[in-house]
Amino acid sequence: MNVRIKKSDGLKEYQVPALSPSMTVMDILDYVYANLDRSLAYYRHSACNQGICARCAVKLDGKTVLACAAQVPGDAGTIVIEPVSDKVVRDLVVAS
Amino acid sequence: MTMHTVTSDVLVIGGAGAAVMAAVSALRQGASVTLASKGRVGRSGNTIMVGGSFGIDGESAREVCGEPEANQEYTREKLFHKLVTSAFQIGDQRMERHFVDAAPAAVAELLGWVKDAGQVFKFMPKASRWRTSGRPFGAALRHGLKTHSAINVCEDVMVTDVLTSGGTACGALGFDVYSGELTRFKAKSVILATGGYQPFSLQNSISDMTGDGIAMALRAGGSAVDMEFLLFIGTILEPLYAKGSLLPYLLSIPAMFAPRPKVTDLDGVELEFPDDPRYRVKPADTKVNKLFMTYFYGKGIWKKWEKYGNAFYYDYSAYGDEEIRQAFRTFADSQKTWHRKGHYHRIDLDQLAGDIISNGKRLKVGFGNEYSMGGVLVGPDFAAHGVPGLYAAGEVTGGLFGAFRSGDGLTEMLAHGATAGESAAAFAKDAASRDADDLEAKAAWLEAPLTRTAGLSPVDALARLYALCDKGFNYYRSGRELAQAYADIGALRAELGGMALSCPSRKYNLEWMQSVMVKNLALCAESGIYAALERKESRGTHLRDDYPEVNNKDFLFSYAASLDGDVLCYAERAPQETFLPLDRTVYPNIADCIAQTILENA
Repeated sequence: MNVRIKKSDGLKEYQVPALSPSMTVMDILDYVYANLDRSLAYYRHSACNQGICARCAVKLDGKTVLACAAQVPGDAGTIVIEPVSDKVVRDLVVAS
Repeated sequence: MTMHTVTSDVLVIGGAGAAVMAAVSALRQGASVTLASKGRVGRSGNTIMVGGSFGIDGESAREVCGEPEANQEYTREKLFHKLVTSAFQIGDQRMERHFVDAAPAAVAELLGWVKDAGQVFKFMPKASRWRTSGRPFGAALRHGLKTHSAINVCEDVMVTDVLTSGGTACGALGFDVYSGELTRFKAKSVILATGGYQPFSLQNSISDMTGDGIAMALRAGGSAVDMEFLLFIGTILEPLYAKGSLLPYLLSIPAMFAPRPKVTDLDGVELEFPDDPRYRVKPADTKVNKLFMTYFYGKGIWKKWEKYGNAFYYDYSAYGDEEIRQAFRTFADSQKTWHRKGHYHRIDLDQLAGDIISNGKRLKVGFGNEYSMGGVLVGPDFAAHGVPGLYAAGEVTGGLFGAFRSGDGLTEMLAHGATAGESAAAFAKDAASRDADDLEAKAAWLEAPLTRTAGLSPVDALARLYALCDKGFNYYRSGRELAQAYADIGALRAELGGMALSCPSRKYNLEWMQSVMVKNLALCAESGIYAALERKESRGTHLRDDYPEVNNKDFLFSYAASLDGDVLCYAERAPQETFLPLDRTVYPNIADCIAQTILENA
């Protein structure tokens, strides 16, 4: 799938393979970070990844979601991931 | 680079149960208190990953916590005896006694916060346990902290080292994860409440269980014990959206999920859990099943480890589609007090049921790391061995649960936090404020990866660390694989001094955070692998394929690790017969030892 991420220095596009019929946004961000762009800032420290801590919010195609809970079908064409507010610290991380 | 300074009598490092309880306890003693947490308090730390329940003995549940129906046959002495035997005797009996004695008041205080915060915990009288979940537990902790507003709370600050003056703890160094600004915490005493270490790719814990406090204590001159003992439970591998959930453990409890899976390897060969009355557990002992499962199922998984690694199936093909769907609906209903309708945390249970059915009615599972028994060596007042002014509480400590935790981590952290807070406040009362003599060196160590343009990436370093531990230091072990893992971790640790980042930004730089965490985790893992290699027997969660016997004749001791420069050194520490005599019997295997000593079924 094409993954467009609104980074601090502009919109970047990444090609992410379908690792599963359904991936979470966090799975996608983890893939981008580990394999394509290690400069990517997204909320990942002290994260529960189970929808408990509620700190990994991003916008997926304009809608606010928790990255660890929102699922994207493996055959989704293009998705856009943006920071959840204007208080951007860097890339997808916003001030709490 | 500017450095922010925060001053208090007592510094508490951590963001969950042990830290909050320690901070409240120290404040109550009249100390000024700062709490520094890597994440948000009550929204980070292993505490919020609680899947089911926690408890204390039935006598105290009635007398101290006001539960009139609590099982009075589950006495304080029974709990103490269970702790000693479950630790496979290498626990510190003084800490085990402290757990029994101190936990009830600490639990009662937490239950007060639960009530005041409008949260619901449900008491189960027979097992003397409270059912709960991570979110209400976190909410209760936040409430507890809020009602003690004099505590100075610094969130999203990653503490990287304890600072010392002439070998005495006098604060800590950290950085704000958003701005990257360094913070120097000046304190007369320091409490580590940072949780355990999990060096594997499959975990069901919070993302950064990287042994930060254990490694900080080692670098400050302290010791770590029992690092080879790590607890595992069934954890989802696939579907990917549910990976890391500890649901399989809950699904293995008949009272929670009726269908009984056939457990098989990936070729469909059944993994046997013998139907033997000697292995039957009582309601208060259900945690023993965690160890039984890794022992019995692990034997079969280990035979094909090179082919499949840590993976097996829960096979529900004996049940119809509707039976499976209905069982998940019933389970969801039992969870509705704490989870969204139809969900367990983020997982839509109807979706999961459908995916299991379409996968040949199989759920792909592995044993994920839940908890580390080992940690900072402390005395009965929770003072860290070898570092005056340094204290530790909760999972970061070693010594309470020895080789296997049958008691509850949630109860542990509350009891430890309460006492560590008192001890650290008492130390601070008589201590002078000191300037650290290692601040510059530790700041340089922290910032070095930011300044390099080439070197090992922390991302690759972490991947290597997980891979070598997955392969050679998992829940089933043998000398050959452990020796390889020990060589590999040594080689990796030697390279960590030259790490470099892809991006030099100080602002929310995950690689920078990981550069610290991988160093911490590698230190913990090396000490664990060494002890596992040298421990030529099986004990608790340390399951040796080549040495199945529990050898109380030759191995009734703990390995204690400490640092000499950057080199780990080890000493043997024998347990003391403070309250109960030690059993020197050699048992042929783990299951027989459990049946005879913990369950007393033999």
